[in-house]
Amino acid sequence: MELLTYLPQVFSGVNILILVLGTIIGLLLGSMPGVSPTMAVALLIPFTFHMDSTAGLILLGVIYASTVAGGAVSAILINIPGAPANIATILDGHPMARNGRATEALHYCFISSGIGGILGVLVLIFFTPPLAELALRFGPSELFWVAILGVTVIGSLGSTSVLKGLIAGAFGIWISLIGFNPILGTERFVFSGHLQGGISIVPALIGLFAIPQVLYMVESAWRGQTGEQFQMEGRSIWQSVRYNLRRVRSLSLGSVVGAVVGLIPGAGGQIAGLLAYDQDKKFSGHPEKYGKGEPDGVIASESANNAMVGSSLVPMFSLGIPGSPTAAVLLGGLLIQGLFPGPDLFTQHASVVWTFLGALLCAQILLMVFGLYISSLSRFVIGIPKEYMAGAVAVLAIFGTYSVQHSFSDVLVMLVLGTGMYFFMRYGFSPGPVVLGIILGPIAEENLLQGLIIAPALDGPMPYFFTGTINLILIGLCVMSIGYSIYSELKIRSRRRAGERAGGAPEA
Amino acid sequence: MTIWKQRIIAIASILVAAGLVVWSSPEARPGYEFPRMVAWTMLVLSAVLALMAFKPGKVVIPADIESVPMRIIWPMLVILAGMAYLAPRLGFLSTSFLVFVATALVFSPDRLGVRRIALVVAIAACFTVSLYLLFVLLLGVQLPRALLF
Repeated sequence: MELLTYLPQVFSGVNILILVLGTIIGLLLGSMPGVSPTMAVALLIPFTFHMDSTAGLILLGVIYASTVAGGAVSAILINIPGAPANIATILDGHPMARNGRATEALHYCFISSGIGGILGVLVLIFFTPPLAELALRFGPSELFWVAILGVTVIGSLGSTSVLKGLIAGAFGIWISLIGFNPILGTERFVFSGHLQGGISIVPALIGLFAIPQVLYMVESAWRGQTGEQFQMEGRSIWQSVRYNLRRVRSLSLGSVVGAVVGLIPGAGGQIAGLLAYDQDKKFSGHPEKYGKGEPDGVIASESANNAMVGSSLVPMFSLGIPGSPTAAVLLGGLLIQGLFPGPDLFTQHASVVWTFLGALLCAQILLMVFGLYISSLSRFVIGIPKEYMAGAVAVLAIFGTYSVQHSFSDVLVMLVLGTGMYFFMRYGFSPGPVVLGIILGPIAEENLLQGLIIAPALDGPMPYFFTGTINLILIGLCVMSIGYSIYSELKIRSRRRAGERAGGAPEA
Repeated sequence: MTIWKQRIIAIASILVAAGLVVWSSPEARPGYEFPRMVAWTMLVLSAVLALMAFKPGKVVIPADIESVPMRIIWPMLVILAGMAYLAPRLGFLSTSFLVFVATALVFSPDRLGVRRIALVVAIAACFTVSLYLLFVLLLGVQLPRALLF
C-alpha cells in the first residue's frame, strides 16, 4: 500500500519538525478565542511558499487538525468556542469546568479528538483514490459543473441564508475574473493599477478571513468580553484514558457522524459536533444529564469535529470541492503549490499526497499526546488580551500577504477585501462562499470556454453541457444542494414563526 | 427594524449586481461571456432576495443581521488605512510596531498609565523583532525599507 511506502518520509528531515511544531502551534492557536482554524490556515499559507510542497501541505493540514482540537480549550475553560466546530463542546464541557472538572473535560476532549481524527483520516485514505479515479472521466463540461457545484454547495449549506450564500459565491466568482480572459488573454475590469494581473488567492484568503476577525477582536476587547476562567484540578491522564475508551457508544457515534458529515461538501464541523451531540443524547439512557456536565457530550462532539477534518478533505482531493471553509483555504494552498485535485495528484504527485496523508494520521496521535500534556498550559494562552491578538493578527496578515509576491498592491487588495467582508458579514454574508468563488471561478470559466470551443465539433453547446450521465448527476447535485438548503431555511423560518406566535413578539 | 435592514441589503445587492451586469456587457468585445453570466445570476438571486424582503404580510427572516459598531471599530479602520499609507513611506517594520502599539492602547479596556504604555511598547518591540527574525532572516523576505526601518 502506498501509505506504508511513503510513511518513512513523514519522519524524515524537516517534515517531522513541521509535524511536531505545527501540532503544538495549532493547539495553542486553536485555544485562543477568535483564532479560527480557517484564519490560522490562511495566515500560514505565505510561510508554505518557502517550503517544498510536501512540507507546506503538512503544515497546513496539521494546523487545520490541531486548531480544531485546540478550540475546545477556550470552549471548556471560558465558555467561548475557539472555532465554530467546538460549539457543541460548550454544552457539557463548560458545565464540567464549572463543576471543578476542567482538566478531566480537556482530557476527554483531546483523547476523543485523536480517536475521531484517526477515523476521519482513514476515511480520507480509503475514499479519495477511488473518487479521484472517477474524476478521470471528467472533461471540460464536467469540470465546469464540478466548479459550480462547489460554489453552490458552500453557498447554500455554509450560510444562514441560502440566497445570501449564493449571492456571495457569485460575487466571489465575478471578482476572480478581474484581470485577463484565460483563452483570449484580453484584459478586463482592471480599473486600478493595483488590480493588474487580477486578484491573487493569498491576499483574498488572508483578507477575507483575518481582517474581519481583527475587527471582531477589537470589538470584544473594547467591550471587555474575556469570559470567566476556571481553575484546573489535578487528574491522572491514564484514569481519563481508561474512562474515555470505555465510552464506546459516544466515541463511535461521534466519530462516524463526524466522518459522514465531513464527506458532505459544505457541511462543516459545527454541524458534525451538534449532530453527534444530539444523536448521543437521544441514544443515552440518561439524556437529562446532558447540558449539566456529562462527559459523553464532550466525547461525542469532540470526536465528531475532528473526524470531520480528515473526511472533509475527501471531496477536495478527489474532485476539487472542499468539504468545509477551512478545506477551501487548504485548496487554495494546494493550487498555489501547483498541485491540482484529481487523479493526477495520486499519480504524478504520489509522494507529496501519501506523505501528507501519513503526516495527518500521525498528527492525530501527536495532538492527542501534546493536547493531554499541554492542556494545562493553554490557560495562559487564553489569557492573552484580545487587543494584543488583534494587533498581532493585523500585522501578520500584512506581512504574510506582502511576503508572497513582494507586492504592495496585494496588501491593498487584502485590506480592501477584508474590510468590505467585515461589513458584509454584519449583514449576513459569509466569507466561505466568496473565497470558494475566487478559487473556483477561473476553473469554471476556463472549462466553460474550452467546452464552448469543443462543443460545435460534437453536438453543440446545449447537449454538450446538459447531457451525459456525469453532467446530469452534477447538475442534479447542484439542484439538490440548493433545494435542500431552501427546505431547511423554510423549516427554520416556520419554527421561528411558531416560536414568535407562542411568545407573541412582533418581528418588524 | 431588521426587516428594513433586510430590504436595504436586497436593494443594495440588486444595485451592485446591476452594476456588474452593465460592466460585464461592453459593446462588441469578446471575452466577457462568463462574467456576464455570473453577473446576471447574481442579479436574479438579488431580485429573489428583494422579493422575499418586500413580500407583503408578516415576513419571518433569518436573524443574520447585526448592527455595525462604527463607534468602536472606526479607530481600527483608521489604523489599517494608516498602515497601508505609512508602510511604504516609513518602512514595514516601524509601521508594524506603531500598528501594534496603537491597537493595544486604543482598545485596551483598562485605564492607561505609564506602566501600561511601557508594557505595550515592550511587547510591540519584541513582536517586531520576532517578525524581523522570522520574515527577513529566516524566510528571506525583502521588505521595502523607507524613512525608518
